[in-house]
Amino acid sequence: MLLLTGYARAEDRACLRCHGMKSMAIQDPVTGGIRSLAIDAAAMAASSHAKLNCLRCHGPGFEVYPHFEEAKREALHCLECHKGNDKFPYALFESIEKGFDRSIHAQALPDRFSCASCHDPHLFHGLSRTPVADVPAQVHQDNQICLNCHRNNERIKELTGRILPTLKNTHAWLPDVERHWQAVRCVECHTGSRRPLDHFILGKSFALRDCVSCHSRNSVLLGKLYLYQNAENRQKAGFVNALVMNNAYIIGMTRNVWLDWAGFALLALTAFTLLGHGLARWLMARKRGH
Amino acid sequence: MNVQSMAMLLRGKRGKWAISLLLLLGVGVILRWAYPGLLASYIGVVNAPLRYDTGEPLSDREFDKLAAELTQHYRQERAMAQTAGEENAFARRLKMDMLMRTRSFQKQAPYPHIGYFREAGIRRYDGPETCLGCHATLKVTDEQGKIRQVKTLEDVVHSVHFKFQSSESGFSTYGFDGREVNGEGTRPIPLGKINRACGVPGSFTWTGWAELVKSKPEHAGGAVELRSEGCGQCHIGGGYHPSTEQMLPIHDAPEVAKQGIDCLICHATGYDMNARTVIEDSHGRRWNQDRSLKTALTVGQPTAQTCLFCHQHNMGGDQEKNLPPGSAPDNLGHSNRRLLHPGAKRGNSFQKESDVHAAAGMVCTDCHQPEGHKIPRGDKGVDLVANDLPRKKVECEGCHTAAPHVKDTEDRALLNGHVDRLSCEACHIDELRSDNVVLRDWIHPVWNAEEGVYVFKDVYQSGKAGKGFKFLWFNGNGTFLANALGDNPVAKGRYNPLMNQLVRIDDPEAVAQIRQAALELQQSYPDLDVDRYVREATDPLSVLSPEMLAQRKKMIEEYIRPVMEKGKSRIYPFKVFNAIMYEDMSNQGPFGAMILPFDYPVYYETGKPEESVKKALAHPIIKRMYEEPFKLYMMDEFMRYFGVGRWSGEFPLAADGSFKKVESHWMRQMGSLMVNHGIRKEGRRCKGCHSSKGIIDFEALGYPPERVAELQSLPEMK
Repeated sequence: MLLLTGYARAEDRACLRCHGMKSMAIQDPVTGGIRSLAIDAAAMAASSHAKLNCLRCHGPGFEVYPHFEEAKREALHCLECHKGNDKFPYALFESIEKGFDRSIHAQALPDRFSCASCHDPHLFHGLSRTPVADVPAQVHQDNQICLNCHRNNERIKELTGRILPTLKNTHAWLPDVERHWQAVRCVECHTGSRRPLDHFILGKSFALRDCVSCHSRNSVLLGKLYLYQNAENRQKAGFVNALVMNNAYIIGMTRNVWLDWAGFALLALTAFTLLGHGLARWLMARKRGH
Repeated sequence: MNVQSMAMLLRGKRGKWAISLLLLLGVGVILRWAYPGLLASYIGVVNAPLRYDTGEPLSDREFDKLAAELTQHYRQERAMAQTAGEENAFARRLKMDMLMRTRSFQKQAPYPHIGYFREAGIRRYDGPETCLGCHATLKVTDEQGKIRQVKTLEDVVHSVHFKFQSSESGFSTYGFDGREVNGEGTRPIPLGKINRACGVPGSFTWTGWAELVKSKPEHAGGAVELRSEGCGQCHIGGGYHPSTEQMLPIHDAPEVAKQGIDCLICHATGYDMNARTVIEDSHGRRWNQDRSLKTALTVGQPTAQTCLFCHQHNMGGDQEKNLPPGSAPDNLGHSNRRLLHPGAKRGNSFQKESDVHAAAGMVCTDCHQPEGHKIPRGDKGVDLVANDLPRKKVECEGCHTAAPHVKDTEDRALLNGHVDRLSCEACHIDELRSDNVVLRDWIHPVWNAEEGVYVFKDVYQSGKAGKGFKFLWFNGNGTFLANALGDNPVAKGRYNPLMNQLVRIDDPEAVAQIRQAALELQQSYPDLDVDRYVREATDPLSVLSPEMLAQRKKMIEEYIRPVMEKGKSRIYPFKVFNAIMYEDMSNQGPFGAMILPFDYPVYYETGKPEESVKKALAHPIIKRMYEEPFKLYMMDEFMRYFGVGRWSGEFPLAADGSFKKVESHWMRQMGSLMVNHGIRKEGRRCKGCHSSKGIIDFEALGYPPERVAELQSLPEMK
C-alpha cells in the first residue's frame, strides 16, 4: 500500500510538472473564455480528494503527453465513486443527481455543466455538519462557488458564450442586498425547498421572492442553513436562542418569548389607558351636562 | 501725493497693510522678472526669440496648387501600393493611371487640414502659434474614462518629451541605498534623460545639445564639412539648451522656448528630417525644424513613422537599411548633415520585416496610449527615463489574453503555462540586430575616414542571445544604473546578477572578439596593454579594491535584495551594455563613479578624449554642479542613489587645467535595457532553452543544480 502511494505521488509529480504551472490555460475556441488547467498542489493536498492521485479520475489517455484527444473530451464520472461507494449514502447522491438534472444549470447547459463546474474537485472540501458559529463561514464559502461564475463574466462567457446582467441589477428588488449576501446562501432562495443539500437550483423566475419564506417563525432557513444547530437550542427557538447569541438575528424568524409577552403587555396597557381615558372623559362630560 | 503724506500713510495701521502689500508685490516682481534672469546667468543658459525660415505667406493660388500636389502625391502613393502585386511594369502603369482616374479614388482627401487652413486663411506655418490658434485646449481622457480639458501648450511643456526629466515619484528604479527613486523617504529631485549618468553620446544633455563638428571626409579631399550632432536632434524643444529651467526650483520654461516646440515632428507624416540640422545665430547654436506649410498641411495623429523620426535611434538604430521613405537615417540634412551613430542602442527594430505588430500596420500609440500629450512607457522600467504616466501599463496582456497561444493545439496549454515564468519577449524576440553594441570604448577613438571624424570604438557588438542580450529575472524595477531587478521565485537567495552575469563576459567567442578589437586598438595606441584591457572589459569588478568589493556585496544583500524580492518576477531578455569612459573618482562607490561628459566637436575633430572632457567640464552648468547650491539641491541625493553616499563637490580639474582624480573605467556592471520590440510571430522552440546547449543559463538564474539538470533534459525532449 505504502509502495503504491509512493508510486502514485511520483505519478502526480509528473502531471504537476506541467499542470503546476500557474498560467497553464487555454482559450476556449467555442466561447472565447479562458479555461485554467493549472492545479494548485497545496490546495489540492488540503481538499477532500487529497488522497487520490491524478489518474484515479483522469484516465486513461492522460498518462502520456500529448494526452489523447478522446481522453480530453471524456467527462468526469464523479458519481461512479460517490454513488457506488460505501462511504457515501446512496440515497443522498441519488437525490443530488435528480435535483441536479432538473436544475437550471443542467437544463440550460446540458453538455457543459457538471459537478465539477461548481465543486472544483481539486479544491473542494466537503462540509460536514455546520455548527451555528460557522454559519457565516459556510455562507461565504458556498456563495463563492456561485460567485466564481456569476460575478465573473469571463467565466460565464467561457461556459455560455454570453454575458449575464450583473447580480446587483438582478437582485435590485432585495432590500440591503449586500447584507443578504453575507448572511444567507444563494441556494436558500434559488432552491426554495427545505431539503438539505438540495441541488435543484432554480433560475430567477422560480426562485423565492417572498420575504416571509425566511422572515417567519417557520423559516426555510431552519431546514437548511441552520439545520445543524444544536437541537436543544432549536427546541427553545423563540426563546433566548443560539441564533441571537451568534449574531445571526433574522427578522421574523428569531423570536424571544419574553419580548413577545412584554410587547403584548405594552399593547394591552396602551389600550387600557386609552379606553380608561375615553371613559373618564365621557363620564366627566355627562356629569357637566347635568 | 507728496512724500510727507506717503510717510504718514505708511505709519498708521493701514500702513502695515500697505507695507505688506508692497513687499508681496516686490516678491512677485522678483519671481516674475528678476529671478529667471538671475537663474539663467547662474547656470549659463541663453534664451532668445527663436526664428525659423518659414518664408512668405502663400497666395491663395499657390496654396491651392500646393494642396493639389499633396493630395495627388498621396493618391499616387496609394495607387503604387495597391498595384504593387503587378509585375509587368507597363500593366502596372496603366492600372495606376486607371486608379487615378477612378471617381472614388479621386475623392480621397487624406489631409483634412488643407480645408481647415483654407477656411481659416492660414497661408504660412508659424509653429505652435499657428496650431494653438485652433487647438488652445484639448480634451484628455484618463484611464478611468474621465474627460478633462487642458491647455495644450501647458500639456506639452510639462510632458517628458519636452522636459526630459521629472521630479515626481513613479520611477520604477531604486537607488543602491535601497530607496525608491523619488519615493517615500526621499527628497524628490529632477531626474531623467536630462541629467542621468549615461554611457551613450553626450553624457549630459547640456554639454552636447547642438554642436557643429568640422569633419574632413575622404571624399572631400581634406576640405572641411560641417556636421550636426547633439541630444537636441531628438528633442521637441528648439531652444539653445535643454529645458534646464524646468528642473530648477519655482521656475518654468521661458515663453520664448515654448515657441520652439516642434509640433510637426510628431504630428506631420510629411516632416522633412533634412531640416533637422544645427543652425548657429548670434545667440548660439540650436536645432532647426521643418516649419514649411507643405509639411503643416499633412498634420494629424502621430504614426509609427513620426515616432520613429526620433526613436529609430533606439529601435533598429541608425544603420538599419530599407527604411520607409522619409526616415531619419536616410534624410540627414541638405547642409550640416547630422552625424550617424553606428552601433545600435537596442537593436530591436520596429519595421514591417522585423516586428509582427509593425507588419500588422499598428502604430506606436496603439499600445502606448497617450493621455493628451502624456505618453505612457509602461509601469516597468530599469532606466532613469522619466515617465509621464508611471502607473499606466503598456504590455502584451493589454491585447493578448492570459492564454495567448491559441493555434498549436497540441502544446498551446503548455506554452501558456510558461507565461507565469517567462515574458512574451523571452521567446518572441529571437535576436537583436547584429550591430547591437555591447561594449563601447570612448577613450580610444579611432579615425573614420569616410565620415572624416574620430569616433568611439565598439569593442563588441552582438545581437545573439546570451551575448548581445541576456535573460534576467525582472519584477519591473531597476537600479539607479539600469540593472534589471528580480529574483528566482522558487529558489530564494541564489540569484545575484550584480555579482554574476552583469559583471562578467565569459563567452569564449565574445572574449576572442574583444581581444581582437583590443589588438586593433593597439595599432593606434601602442601602449595599450591588451591582456589588462580584455580583463577589465570582461570583468569590470577586477578594478575594485577588496574593501570596495566587500561593501558592494554587503550593499547588494542589504539594500538591493529586498527590492529584488518584491512583486512577481519573470524572465525577460535584456540588452546588455557597458562603456569605458572618464570617471570622477572623488565620487566613486562600489557600483561606479560619476561619469564625465564629452564635448562633441573636440572629440570628433581631434580624437583627444581627455581634451574633450576638459572642454565639457568648462560648461557653466557642470561647474555649478560642483558648487554648494547644486550639491544641496540635488547632487547629494543623486549620489546617495548612486551608492556613493554624498557628492564630493571636488571639481575634477586642477587650477593648471590638469585632471584631478579622473580615471577611465568600464562601468562596474553592465547596464541592462529592456527590449520589447522586434517581436516575431514564431516563438522559440523548446530545445532552444531546454537542452544543455540552450540559450538560457539556468544556473545563473539561480536554479539549484538538480533543477538545472531537469530543465536541461526534459523527458519529453528525448
